[in-house]
Amino acid sequence: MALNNIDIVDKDYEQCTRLAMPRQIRFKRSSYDSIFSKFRNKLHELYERKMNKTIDKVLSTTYNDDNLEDKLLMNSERIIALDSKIRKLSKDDVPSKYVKSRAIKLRDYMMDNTLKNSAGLYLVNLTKSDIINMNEDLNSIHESDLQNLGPDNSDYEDYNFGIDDGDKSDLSSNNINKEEVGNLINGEFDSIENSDDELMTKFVSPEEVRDVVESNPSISQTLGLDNKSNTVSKIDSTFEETDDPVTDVIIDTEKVENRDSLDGNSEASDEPIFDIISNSSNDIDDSSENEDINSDDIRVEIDNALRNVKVSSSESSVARINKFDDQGSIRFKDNYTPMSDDEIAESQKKINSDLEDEDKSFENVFGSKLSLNNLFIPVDLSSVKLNNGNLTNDRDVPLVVDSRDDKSQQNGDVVEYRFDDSDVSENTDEMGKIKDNNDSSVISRTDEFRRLKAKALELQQKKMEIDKNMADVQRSAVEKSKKAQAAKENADASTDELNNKMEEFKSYCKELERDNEKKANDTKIFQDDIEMNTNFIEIQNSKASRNIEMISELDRIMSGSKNSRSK
Amino acid sequence: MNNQEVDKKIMSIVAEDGSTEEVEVILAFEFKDTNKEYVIYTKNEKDENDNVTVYVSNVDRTSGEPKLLGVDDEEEWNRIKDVLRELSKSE
Repeated sequence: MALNNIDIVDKDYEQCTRLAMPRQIRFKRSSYDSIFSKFRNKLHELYERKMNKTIDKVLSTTYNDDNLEDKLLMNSERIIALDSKIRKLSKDDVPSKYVKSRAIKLRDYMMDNTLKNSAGLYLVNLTKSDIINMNEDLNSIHESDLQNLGPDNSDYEDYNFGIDDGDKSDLSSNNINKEEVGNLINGEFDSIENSDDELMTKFVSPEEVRDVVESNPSISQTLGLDNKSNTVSKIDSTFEETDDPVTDVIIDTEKVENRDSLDGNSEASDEPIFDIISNSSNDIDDSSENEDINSDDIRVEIDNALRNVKVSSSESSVARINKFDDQGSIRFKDNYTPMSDDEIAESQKKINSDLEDEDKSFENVFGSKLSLNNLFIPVDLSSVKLNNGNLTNDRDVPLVVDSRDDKSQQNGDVVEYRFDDSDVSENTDEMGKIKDNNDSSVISRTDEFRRLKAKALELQQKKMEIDKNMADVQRSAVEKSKKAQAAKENADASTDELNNKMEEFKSYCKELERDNEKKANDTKIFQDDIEMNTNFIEIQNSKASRNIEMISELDRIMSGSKNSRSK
Repeated sequence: MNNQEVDKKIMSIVAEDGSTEEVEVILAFEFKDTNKEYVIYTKNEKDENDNVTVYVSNVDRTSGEPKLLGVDDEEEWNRIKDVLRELSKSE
């Protein structure tokens, strides 16, 4: 039977591409309806079979376990209980005793973290026994606190559900250990099988640490024990980084010891625990260990240092602060010694008193030679006297000034100047100081000018060479671009020619094709003609042969009748 | 099962020229021995005697998307006609 060889299919036919024409059949209406309904019935049976198969599979695999329902129920109850505890802890109105015990647990947490993670970072000589002793003391406190947390102790059982079911540990209040309470505090109800290492890596915020340390004076005492330098390094990554990380921090133990105790008689202080006193180990001194240095002292020290700082008046230069020498005083260049405060005050007084006198002008007070034009007077080369290179009062020292403003300098001429101090004012002391300063600065400036001029000449030479190279390079670049242009033009021309040739060739081919076609047509015509003629010839031949036959017949008849007549 | 209660299975055919037409699938089956799949569909065309024209195509799914091919083999076509004949017999 044909239907036994087929399988009814129910696939996706939403979008199909037709590559060939289908076959067609016409059916009567009744036949068409019959085909359609049978197909649908078969599809329906197919669906039902599949569904039953799926249902059987699900039923057979999932529900063989008789206890599954109980297990599911128990787990859901545990989850509900855990959820309610989490919600309770996350609310703000948690009882205060709960908070305190929480702080204590945090402290334990932190101490364990310290031991595990410090490995020499810490200078605190804590040992495990110290911490254990502290722990034992504190455990006795927190156990009593925990007993009063809820109406019954069943709450604690809930906190220690592990992942594997049905394994509730025996939880009386005496058996509560640090791990469990750590879980309680953090609001995360981890499995009881968690190792210490996992618990150690939980984050503790600095505020929590501060609360804990504030509330327990024994901690601060322990921190100060056997530690002469009173330093505690930056603890670990659980602390937040500040903007100014300090590698060495000094704790004022007196202040820490005076913090409020854990007994709860006073509230936690808002003051910071660590007072940063110095950031240089050189400054730490046993004798000054308990001294308080306030910010005013620091300010004075800095002011003194900054007073002697030289700042350039030029906008482009950066203020330079001279280095300090070993004694802490500022080191100046060129053996410059600044005027003392008394000297400054004295000269200011003098200047002010002179200026107050209206008869005296600026020039009378400071001398007319204090303007640049008067200080440097160009003289003939012949009048220059050298005194073994030593400075004399005549100041016959050739100074080379390469001034842009000086027109003679624009041609590269060197003009020598002589310092004319013949009109020195009566205030010789002050003027002498000013003169000395000018002498040394002039000499240094001369050297600098010479150096700069040599450098400028060198740079000019280099610039000329570079310009020359640039010109050569540009020239060769232009030549190359011209050559490239010419080559491109050649290529374009040859391409055009090729295209033209191709076009000609195409048209030639078309021409040939047309000719061939025409010839083929002509050939066909000729062949048709030949065939036609052949047929015609055959017809004519047959006609001719028939005629010949008739003629011969007629001849025979005629010859027969002639013979009979002659007889 | 009543025919009128069953949802129609509509197929969109994209022709060679890119045009699309929607037709109704009546039947789809494959031969067990050759695993060739055929789809019979109609455009609901009726003549003056209420006869319905149906179309038969071979479905090729080798390239992922279904493609409709013709039935070139006569023997194959005869087998298809036998199946249709059987199905058209009223029970």
